[in-house]
Amino acid sequence: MYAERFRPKNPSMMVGNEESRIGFLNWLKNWRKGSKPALLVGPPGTGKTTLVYAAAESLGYVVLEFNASDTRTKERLSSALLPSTHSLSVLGERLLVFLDEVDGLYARQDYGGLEFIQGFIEKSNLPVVLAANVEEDERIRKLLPKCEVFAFKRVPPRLMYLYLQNLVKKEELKVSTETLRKVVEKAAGDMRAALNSLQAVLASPSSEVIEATRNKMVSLRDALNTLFNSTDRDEAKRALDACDTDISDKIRAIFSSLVNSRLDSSNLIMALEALSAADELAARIKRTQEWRQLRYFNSMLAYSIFDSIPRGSVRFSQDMYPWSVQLRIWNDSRVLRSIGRKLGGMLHTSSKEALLIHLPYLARVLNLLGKDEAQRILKGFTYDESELRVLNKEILRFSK
Amino acid sequence: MEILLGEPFHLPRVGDDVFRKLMRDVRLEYDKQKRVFRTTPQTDLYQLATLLSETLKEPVTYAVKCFLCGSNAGCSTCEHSSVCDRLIVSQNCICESCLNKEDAYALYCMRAAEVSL
Repeated sequence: MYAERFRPKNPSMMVGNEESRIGFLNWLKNWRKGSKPALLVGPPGTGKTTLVYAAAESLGYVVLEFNASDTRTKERLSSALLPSTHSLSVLGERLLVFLDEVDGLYARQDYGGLEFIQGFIEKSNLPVVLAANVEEDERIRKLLPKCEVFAFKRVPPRLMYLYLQNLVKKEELKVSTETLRKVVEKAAGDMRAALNSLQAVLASPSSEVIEATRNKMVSLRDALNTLFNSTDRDEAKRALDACDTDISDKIRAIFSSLVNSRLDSSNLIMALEALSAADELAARIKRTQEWRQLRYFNSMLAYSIFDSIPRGSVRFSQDMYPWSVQLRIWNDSRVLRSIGRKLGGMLHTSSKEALLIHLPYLARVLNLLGKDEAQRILKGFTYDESELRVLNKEILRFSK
Repeated sequence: MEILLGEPFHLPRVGDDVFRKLMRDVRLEYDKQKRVFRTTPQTDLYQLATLLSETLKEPVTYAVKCFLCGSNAGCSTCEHSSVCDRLIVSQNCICESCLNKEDAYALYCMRAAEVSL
């Protein structure tokens, strides 16, 4: 395979992601016992695995790799990795532990694997490198604070062209400039796909340049941005298919993106109704364990959302609430807690219950009584100025 | 407003809330002494464009710089511009004049080796 045969042997021979490559090399050069492990995050074919091997080679490390094709249960990992935590080298060679595709750890097949890795990276005597395709994955989010993160992005087409052009020249391959351009365009920033595609074209020159010959996995962000912006329904569905994120996370992220957008109310209602139908299907699949129905889930979600929003009107967002609401929660939460405590004391309930159940009624009643009467009653409470300001805002919400 | 990815840029005062969001959620880098911002590979360029265009009331576009000569790589005249999404590609590219040099790839590798020393 060209992707293996022409894999760069030195980090400086790679193209794209220069800042992350340099950052990772410096991390490995300066690694000391107690340093944080490195986490390389980025789409497939951007050079994460290649960089680990090339950097290890140039700095004199031997790589001990565990990838998605290995079973990575707690028992398996601990029997392979724990001895290495006590020995810093094998036959004088320094070791580097590389756990590739950590976002591909499965709850059932790799039982306890993630928990083991979380513990292992804290006490390892060796440099540990983790690699993942998507940052949004819940499993990766847990690892982020404990790691030095190096983000990888897709390789710009011109740099990819530069690499392939050099390869064609060096190996004296017979490929036209036009074909090389097509290979670059179809690869969409995935260097492995470009090399595989180039090999396929050389093997059968009459064939069309095919799209990435390896199944591409896209992040939740890229999938949803394609869903919201693509002008082709099937492309929108393919993007959702290529995203390996849990169905609940997909629904949550679409919901968050919709409510943070500036859609007009009729489109927003349509989109939320479509989303709630998909949510019902997801719940039914989980409840009945009929995972076969999953194949309908992406189609239903993609087509219904596609049809209900104008193209380009929504962008991916993971904030659950719009920024204006977040600000309000942020600014008023301290004061609301204090109102809850006082109100709860008066009503002999917890402050949480006072805020959730009694405060809305109180605000509603005060709103119905009118401004002057409400102010007169509020004076009877022991609220300070900031609490009165927030209470007045709550009362005003009922007049809108 | 055009932002050259990976290069320092100035912003007018944006207010505490937007600044906090730029640091915490967008993961923009800020140099306190020089008072300049910089995008890193971890910066969320989607969010940055949305937030800044809302705050500054002007569209935000991105450009990438040439890894060899440091100038603007010239995305507007690039032959691959129709398939290159600047929001998802890495921060450096190569300009047309550097690409057309006889030993462009060797120069690129040498530059990468130089900066990682």
